[in-house]
Amino acid sequence: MSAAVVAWAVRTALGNATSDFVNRLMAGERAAAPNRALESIPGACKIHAPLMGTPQPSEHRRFLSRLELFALDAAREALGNRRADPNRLGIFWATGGLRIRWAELAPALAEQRLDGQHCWERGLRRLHPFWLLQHLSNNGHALLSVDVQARGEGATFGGANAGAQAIAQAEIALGCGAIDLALVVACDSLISPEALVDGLCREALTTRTLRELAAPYDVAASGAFPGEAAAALLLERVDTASSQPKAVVHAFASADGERGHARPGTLGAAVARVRGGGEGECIVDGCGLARPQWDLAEREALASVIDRGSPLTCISAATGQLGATTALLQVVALAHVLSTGVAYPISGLNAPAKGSLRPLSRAQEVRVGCGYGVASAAPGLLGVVRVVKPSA
Amino acid sequence: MSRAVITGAGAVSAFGVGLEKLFDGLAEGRCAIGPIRNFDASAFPTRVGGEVWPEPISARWLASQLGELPRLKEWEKAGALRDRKCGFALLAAAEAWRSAGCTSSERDAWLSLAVGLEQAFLEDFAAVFRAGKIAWESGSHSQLPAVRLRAPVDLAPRCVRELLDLTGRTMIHVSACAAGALAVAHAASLVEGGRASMVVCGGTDSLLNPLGVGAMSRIGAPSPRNAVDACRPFDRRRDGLVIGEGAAVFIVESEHRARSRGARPLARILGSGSTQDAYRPTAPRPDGSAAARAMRRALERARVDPNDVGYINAHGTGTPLNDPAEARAIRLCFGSSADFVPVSSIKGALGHLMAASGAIEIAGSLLPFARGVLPATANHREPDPECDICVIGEAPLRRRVDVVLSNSFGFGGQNATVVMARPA
Repeated sequence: MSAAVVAWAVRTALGNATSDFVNRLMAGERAAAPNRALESIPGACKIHAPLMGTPQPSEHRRFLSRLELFALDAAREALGNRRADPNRLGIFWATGGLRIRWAELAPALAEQRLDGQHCWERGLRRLHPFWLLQHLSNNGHALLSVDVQARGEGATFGGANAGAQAIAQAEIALGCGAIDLALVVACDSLISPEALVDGLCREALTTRTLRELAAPYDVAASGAFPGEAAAALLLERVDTASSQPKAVVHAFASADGERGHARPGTLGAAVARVRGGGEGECIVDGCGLARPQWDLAEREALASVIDRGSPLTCISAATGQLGATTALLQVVALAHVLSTGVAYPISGLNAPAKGSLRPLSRAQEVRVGCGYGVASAAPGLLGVVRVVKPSA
Repeated sequence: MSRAVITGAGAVSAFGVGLEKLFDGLAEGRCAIGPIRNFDASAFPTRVGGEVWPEPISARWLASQLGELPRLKEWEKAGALRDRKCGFALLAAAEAWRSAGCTSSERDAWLSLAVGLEQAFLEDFAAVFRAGKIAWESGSHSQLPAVRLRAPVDLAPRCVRELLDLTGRTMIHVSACAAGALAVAHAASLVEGGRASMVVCGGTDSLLNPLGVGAMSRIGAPSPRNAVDACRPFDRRRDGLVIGEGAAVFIVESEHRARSRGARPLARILGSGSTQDAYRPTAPRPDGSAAARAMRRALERARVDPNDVGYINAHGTGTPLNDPAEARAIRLCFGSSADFVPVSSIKGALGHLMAASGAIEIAGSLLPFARGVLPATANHREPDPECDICVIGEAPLRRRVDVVLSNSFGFGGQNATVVMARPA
């Protein structure tokens, strides 16, 4: 099963237009910036890649986070002027998880005690009346459906691989004829305090300064940095797409029971599962965890199922780790490679570590007919997207 | 196409731990709503709920239900059990797995689980929050990882995977109150499409914690009356919902796989449908048209005539807006058959299990097949002319039916319907 990608839109730390995103990827730019709030904290990640700019003014701002508003913008842009039967348009929304609106929670928390006693009197009674609505996992999905009048089959997915889950379910809904048009939307922020706490606990992030930061797959790699992004893909059935597709995508999401990142071997098996026949040489957008042993194992696991000399690149080297949004941005970036024949480099890669696959330290021409985007996240979650060039 | 059947089920509800306790409570027409006791809610506007266990969830309590498991202590130590829904998911999954006769040979099963809001831990906030900010500089991070601020969205699915040692794919549904039904519908569609031959599916949730109850109170969704009959679905006097908690988990597999391993189906899943209201974030579409479309789509996929449906398990929250909208949807879909097809909501008895509501209601919808009884609608005493359907009142109805339909309608207008039939 697969689906035709007929439109897309992105909101990333590299830019809020698809052209900015891919051009800056091609130029090897990195969106990392110092996180001043954490500079003096030992053991904390001091680098992040925040999404710049502000979303369009929206009547939904009292219910939605900044990231969700960016996601709504991306979704509307991807849908464009396309006229769709509302009953045949479905939304598949991916969310990384609860992101707390700290400013509004502050009055409720300021006087709480560790024993939790008298918590209502100590502040919960001052909780914002919309707190629950603001933190519902399907908030963005619900409000987008109102905006674009999408009344068809859809669902909301959670977790760091939710983007791949959402694409996969959209493929199924299109394939079985439940809908004709699927709007897949994702947003996630790993730079929120609660996500940084998780990252800190799992020692998953780099503790180096921006100056010392090394890229994934570099001999000096020492951890990833967090980012945030929103993106949307508009999907149709391959055989009935109303316009020339930009790419054809197939997604796979799974888990392997690990508490930390999904094992490299699981990733390799997942790629083997989605691999098509006779696809020739391919390019891989890797997990980019920037942990030397893990990076090496990832390359070996992938090389066991695709050509050992396949080019390896990585958007998260430029944008930071993106959680639920990763799969969608990999589709956009890999589709660009397939259409132009030029691959983007791994931002900041100076000295590629030895191993299988061919990490790209600069943009270069590639002859590939297929791209794989892979992602591994905690707890044991993985996502794979297979992107191929559409037939003319 | 493979037909999807349910071969195992587990339930955790305010009636107790176990599917039989759910069946007993529903068959006897009892109401399990009572004072919230797992934390001091005495000062909260909302003080009643459908509580499973009146204390924090511990490894000891789970062991008393599940038997000793090596991982229980580990999960407790890691803080996973602080999120009540993790414990409920474990209990329901263990029961479903056992009742379906699954062994390590079924480890390849996939997992499609609905979970609710990630539980935020108030005591953790108190430890790390100063003057509106995370107090990184005050050494709070040295308390990590004891302080986690929240349970991650994938915590419960992870625990279930570890409990059953599953190796298949995982899908995490977070479509609010429709999520449980969507997780089961998704599982059935994967089995019917031949993509998976067995899926562990269902939902788990608990908002019965200070932040959850506080937030629900502030939004004004719960009934303002702190009485055991606070939730009165389809009743003229209804004035809000009651918060419940719990889980229901099912083993959904292909009829072929079930037959080949000698498993006895509890029900067949004939079809499902989902639509979106696209109306308002805080209210259902009043004419019920989108919800009716979800029902119609499910019936079409099931190849079932509305006249053949013997029972409708309604979403029936007991809120002023939901119930009449759902009644109109049923009327739109069923036409004049709505005059006699029995409808009930089990939320009056158990409360609203939020993300798990669709799953527990699918479990409740197995009662007609298991015992020939249609669940009652607790606290439904005064019919509302605005809800012009055939509501079963406070007494369960003894009747044999062959096809049931279960509705779940989520906040923001996500509608899901599942149609099931008596096993062949």
